[in-house]
Amino acid sequence: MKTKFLIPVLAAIFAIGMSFTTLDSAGNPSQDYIVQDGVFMPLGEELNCGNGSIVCRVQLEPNGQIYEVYDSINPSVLKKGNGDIKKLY
Amino acid sequence: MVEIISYLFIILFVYAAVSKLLDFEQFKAQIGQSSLLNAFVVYVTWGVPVIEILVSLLFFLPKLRLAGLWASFTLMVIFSTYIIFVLNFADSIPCSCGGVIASLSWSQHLIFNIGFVFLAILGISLIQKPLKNKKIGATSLSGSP
Repeated sequence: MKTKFLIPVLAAIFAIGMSFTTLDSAGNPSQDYIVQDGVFMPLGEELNCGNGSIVCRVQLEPNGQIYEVYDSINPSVLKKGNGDIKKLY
Repeated sequence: MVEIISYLFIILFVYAAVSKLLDFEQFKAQIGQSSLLNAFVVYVTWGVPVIEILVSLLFFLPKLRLAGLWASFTLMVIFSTYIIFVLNFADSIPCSCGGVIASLSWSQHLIFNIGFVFLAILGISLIQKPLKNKKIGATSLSGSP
């Protein structure tokens, strides 16, 4: 009886351990994103923002809004760089 | 065999639920991308992992395994239906699933889900067959003079 309950518990512990080991908080290497009206929009390319710790920003049209760039669809994964505003037009 | 199916569902649902909860912000953002689900972001982002954990708990007790299999079957059918909707009507939405399953393409994920639907059906039939035989046995005994 104890064994019958133990194996499901072990399965659950195994699954919890697996989810910690496969947790990936890194960004998407092939795609960057901006947030427009609260929705993540793909930029269609990986931007080269240079090296640095300043949030990377992009402008999609002349005199248009400047957006912060995200490495993935995750509000906490802002792309960092040298601070230059990338112009995609 | 039923035990193995139960353990597989425990692993699947616990893994998926914990993965979603560990990367909650990303999961929430991804649900927000879905035209079908973005109106229910709060309910879906909290409800899906909680339901997955509750369903997995049903498999801990042998008496509740049949209920767990039916709940799993229902969940997997719902998830598969959502994937079919995404494949046919959405442009491109990253997978809102957890862990290594996110590395599957939408089509692969659909096949994965359908596999578990059949696994649930198999488990249900394996449990219900002996129950039916028991009832038939009991009926013939009670019907005999």
